[in-house]
Amino acid sequence: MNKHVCILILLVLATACTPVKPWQKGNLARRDMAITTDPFESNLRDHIFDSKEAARGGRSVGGGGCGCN
Amino acid sequence: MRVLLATLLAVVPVWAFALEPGDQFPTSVQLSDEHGAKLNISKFQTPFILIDFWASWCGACAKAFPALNSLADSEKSTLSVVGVNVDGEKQDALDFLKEHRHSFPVIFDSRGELPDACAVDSMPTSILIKRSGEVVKVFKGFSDGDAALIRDLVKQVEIKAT
Amino acid sequence: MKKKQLRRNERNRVKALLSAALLIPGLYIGSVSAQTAPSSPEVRIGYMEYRDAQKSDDRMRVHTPHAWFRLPGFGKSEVEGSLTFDSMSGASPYFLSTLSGASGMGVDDQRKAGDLKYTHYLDSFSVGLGGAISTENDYLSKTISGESRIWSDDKNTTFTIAGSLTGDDISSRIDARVDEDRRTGSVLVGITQVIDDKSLVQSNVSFSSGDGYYSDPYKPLDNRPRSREEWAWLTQYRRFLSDYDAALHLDYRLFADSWDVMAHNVSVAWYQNIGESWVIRPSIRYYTQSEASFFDSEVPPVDREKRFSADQRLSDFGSVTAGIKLEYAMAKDLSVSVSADVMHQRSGLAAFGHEATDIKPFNAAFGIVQLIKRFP
Repeated sequence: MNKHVCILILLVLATACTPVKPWQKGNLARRDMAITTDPFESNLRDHIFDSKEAARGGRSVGGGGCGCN
Repeated sequence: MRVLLATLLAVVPVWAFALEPGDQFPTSVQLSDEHGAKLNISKFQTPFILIDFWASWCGACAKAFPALNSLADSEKSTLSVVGVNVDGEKQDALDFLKEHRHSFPVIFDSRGELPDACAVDSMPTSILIKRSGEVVKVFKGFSDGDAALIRDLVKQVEIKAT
Repeated sequence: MKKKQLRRNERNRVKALLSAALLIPGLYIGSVSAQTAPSSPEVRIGYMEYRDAQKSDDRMRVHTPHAWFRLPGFGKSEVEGSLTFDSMSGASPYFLSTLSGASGMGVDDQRKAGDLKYTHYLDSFSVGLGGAISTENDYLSKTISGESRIWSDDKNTTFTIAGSLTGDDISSRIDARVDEDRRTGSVLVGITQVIDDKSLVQSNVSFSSGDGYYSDPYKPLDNRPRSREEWAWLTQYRRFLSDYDAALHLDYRLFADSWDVMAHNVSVAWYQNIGESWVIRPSIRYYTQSEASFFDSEVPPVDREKRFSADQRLSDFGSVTAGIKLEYAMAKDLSVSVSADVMHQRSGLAAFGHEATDIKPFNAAFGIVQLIKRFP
């Protein structure tokens, strides 16, 4: 039930945005505006946190290769 | 799951229809070139004109330059190529042009008047028009294959004329 | 004296396992991005140095060379992958039971891992297939994954759906009887939405369900449930501030699982551009979790069948990680970057739950150096 509410909230948020035209996306194309600016660093960082903490996931799937139970 | 997908698709905004072959290109829009001189697309004398919308931040646009250059170099009598830059900051475009060879004129439209009038829905977009302003074809992204297609189209006109 | 020794052995084993886990390279099939077409090719090579300590005399050191690449494939497609080889050094508990008096004996262990993902782009959607493998002496993990992204006509909205299957084989260096496995399936759905010409947000929900061995083979009393369901909701916000020539990154993740663990983490990063060639990026992360239902730091249950673990990673704690990164563009397509982070973890920092005075604060520091080559 809670999960369905979450998805609905995301959908509502998605519709509340001003449509940006393709030629106006210069700032969004910047390297520092990427969701993952540095895949090298995030690989290593995520792995440290995943092995020191109980929580993981949300970023991608298939990250279970860790002997940290 | 189906309900979810339907809901998701419903919130996706439907884009305004882009230019189709046969439509009229907005040739009245006047923009400035690198030297500040006003340039109007209707000023080109060749039977065909290729308008290429590009920006310095658009990697695919940069990739199209070599094909555009080769077209501009080889089809001088039948085709005019003109680049329309849509960078918000003109300096970004000028810096880009310093590093990339371009054998066609470039005009600057930082407010996006022309792409808006053409309902451009992706970057890069190139529009091939006849001198009359009639749209022949719209290209999204520009490859060597597209350049070959244009060469063929242009040559058909040459054959007809002779 | 003997009791103290046993206690220390146990702690060392935990530490070694933690470090071993750390050394097992992450099987990253690639993060969900906002891209709707092949991104520009890029290769990164470098390494990470990691150290941690729980008591002043305990030190674990990890050296991790790593490489990551994204290269064009056939037609409109790309291949993304990474390779990790790491080595751990420090007091090794693995051999304490077989080599008496070997405490302090250095051990060099190597872990190897690699992953690969192939993504093909079509006009309105993309499809990707990936695989990953990670191997070390007592652990083998294999994963296959698939991902599809669908974008709206104006490309302002992108939907992502991804799934993966993982099979792990677990053994123990000190106990040959341990021959276990675990199977995990996970799924992720997400939305990436352009908010305006300067900001965007991505929100993903992932669910994972696993069956099999979850206990720590180096802790004879560790007896964890044989299944685990995990939920994670990660939201990432990006905003460009033109007045400052900087970008702000804000991430929040909520986590909950069937072991009663609940966790939150918030990260903030500020990408400050300086001139044409420099970027400096301070960052801070706060994490908090509540303990697993079967966690107990003190007394193991009398009933050996009852679920139990004293693993610190399942306790109540909070942590703060602060770091800084500097990137310099040596040429148009060649950059170098250096970063350093420190992490402090202790039960007193937990946002909820109780402070456990018998769990010592944990500290870690890591630094990353990398060379980045971009292709037109």
